[in-house]
Amino acid sequence: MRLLVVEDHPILAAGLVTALKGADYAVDHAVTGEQADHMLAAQQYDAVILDIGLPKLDGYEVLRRMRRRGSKTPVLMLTARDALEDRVKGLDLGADDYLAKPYDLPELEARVRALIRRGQSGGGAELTHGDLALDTAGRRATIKNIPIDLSARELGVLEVLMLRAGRVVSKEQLAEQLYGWGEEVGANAIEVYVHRLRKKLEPAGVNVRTIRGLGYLLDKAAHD
Amino acid sequence: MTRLRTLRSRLLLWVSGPMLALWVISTLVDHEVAKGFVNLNYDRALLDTALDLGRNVRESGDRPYIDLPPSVIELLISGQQGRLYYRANKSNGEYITGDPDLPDPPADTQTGRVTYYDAIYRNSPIRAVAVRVPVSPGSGRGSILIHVAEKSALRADSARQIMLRMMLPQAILVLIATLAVWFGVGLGLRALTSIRTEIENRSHVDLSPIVETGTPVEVRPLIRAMNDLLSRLSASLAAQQRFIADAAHQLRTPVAALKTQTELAMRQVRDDEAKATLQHLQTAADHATRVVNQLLTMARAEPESHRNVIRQPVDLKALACEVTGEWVPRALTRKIDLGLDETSVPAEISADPFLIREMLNNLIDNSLNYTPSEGHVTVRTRRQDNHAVLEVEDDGTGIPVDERAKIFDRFYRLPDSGPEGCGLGLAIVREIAQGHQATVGVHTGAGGHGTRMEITFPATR
Repeated sequence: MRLLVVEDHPILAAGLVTALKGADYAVDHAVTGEQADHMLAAQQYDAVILDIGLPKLDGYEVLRRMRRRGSKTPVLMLTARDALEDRVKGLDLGADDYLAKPYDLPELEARVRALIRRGQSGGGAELTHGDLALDTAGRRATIKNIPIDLSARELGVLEVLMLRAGRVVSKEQLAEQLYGWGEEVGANAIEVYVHRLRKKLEPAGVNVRTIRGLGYLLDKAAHD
Repeated sequence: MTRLRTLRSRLLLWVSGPMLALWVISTLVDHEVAKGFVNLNYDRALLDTALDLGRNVRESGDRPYIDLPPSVIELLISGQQGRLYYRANKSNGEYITGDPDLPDPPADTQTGRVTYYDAIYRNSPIRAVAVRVPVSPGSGRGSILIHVAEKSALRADSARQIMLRMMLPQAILVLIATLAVWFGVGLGLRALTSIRTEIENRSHVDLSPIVETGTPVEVRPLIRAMNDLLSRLSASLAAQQRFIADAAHQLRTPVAALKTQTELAMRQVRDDEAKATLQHLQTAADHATRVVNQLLTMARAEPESHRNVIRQPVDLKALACEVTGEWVPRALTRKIDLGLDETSVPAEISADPFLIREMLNNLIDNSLNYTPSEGHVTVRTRRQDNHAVLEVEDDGTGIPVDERAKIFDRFYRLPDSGPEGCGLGLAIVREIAQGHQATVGVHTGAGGHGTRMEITFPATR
């Protein structure tokens, strides 16, 4: 996994590089937009962490040139500005995610992991959560490598919950995900799937919380 | 005299004052003119009477007399407004007939055939005419003098009558002119009224220039001056916005560096004491983050910066779902049950979604800070008589009634509050609410515990 960090603040950049290297990524660092542009043209990266506020060539322009070259490398935009227009502009230009400074490092790491997973989703990826593992391509879940019996819909619900572990997932989001499998799914049906899923996941110590009025949340795994 | 504040009353004063003065002067002039005309006519009447008498002078021997029966003389000297006086005497002054003591003309005016003069007779001012009449025309027998007089008071009365009759129409003229000014000014000021309406109907964020076309030439310099002010204001606001954006960038990046490095150090260090120190550093960095974010939100929520506000339809419930969901992980780490009330209904408002989001962020943050673990924080949206209402209710420590007015002040913190927060959260809530014409209510939560913050948005349609 090779990542490119584009950030002009030296101490912040050093911190990011160290943290990502610690997570076993190979990390390159560019200080200016031009440098980043050259590196992105010369080398294939698995993900790019791109600051918007760069001297001369800004992050938007780097992203624009990158997408014009046809690169599909996932990009996480960093910005010190939080105006909605900035966010919309970044996403319109083809950024995959967006994080406002100052962020929590674990949050950034989680977003980078999610980006890389998304970048590879064509080949299917394995999601893990403590003892629980989900093979999204083979559509198969295991606890401590022992397969558990989940229906296609339960697997769908589990995938969404695992992808957004630690964050609230609404019933609507779950229903949307399941809609892909055929007929429409009501809120009551979702409750039933979650109820069954909870029972089946109990041995793995995985806790699916009900959040009043909002939906469900899969507690973050202990080591995550 | 109190200062006249309206243009209309000032103009009225400036116009009606001189008009009244003119009215008085013209009345006096009228009086003089009337006196002149009255004198002319009355003098002619006196002269006619004197000539009538003179035409009938006859001579009997050496003794001239007026050959008219007493009744005819009586008829001649009975003027329209009272009896005339008359006297005839020879040119040497010898009395012939009439009122014997009627005064002669003053010595220095005794020239010519006809002499008019004023005098005092029986204690009243009189006007008199003296006419020299030949005894027998062409005979060379000398002449006699005929004096005819009447009381001057008659003439003064007539002159006064004429003057009074002219005063009334002139007074009406003054009144009409004053009314014309009153309404004329009103009509003239209608142009200003339309400009006023345009400015009144503007949103408080609209600093575009006022349109000059169609306004009176006199008003244009004022409009230009206002437009000039507006453009300077607009430029300074733009500069302020740029400053805020730059300050955001300049502050946030170093704080991000601080947080990242602290987090890394905590991962590398094994020593518990050093870890505790780093933990404090981390907390301080988080606090700095909150303060930076809140100060910037505050700056953005201030009315002066509302220029770029985007008003768009916002569904409060959808926004509440999203924002509340984002806070759930943090609530869980504090073992607080944060959720959305199941009775919440969709409620659309016209608002800046970014600011409403910030408002709810601060409300939830505030409630979480004042709610102990195992407590509950509930977000709710409802509709009440066309008003959309957003509520955040907790069962925490609550806010004493006498503190409720103060909690919205900037940097105000409850006396027993913890280290979190910088006292800007609720000030931001209030600024944003005001910017959206919404009201903020502070109530005690259900069951007499905690706090219920209630934002009521203006009625829609």
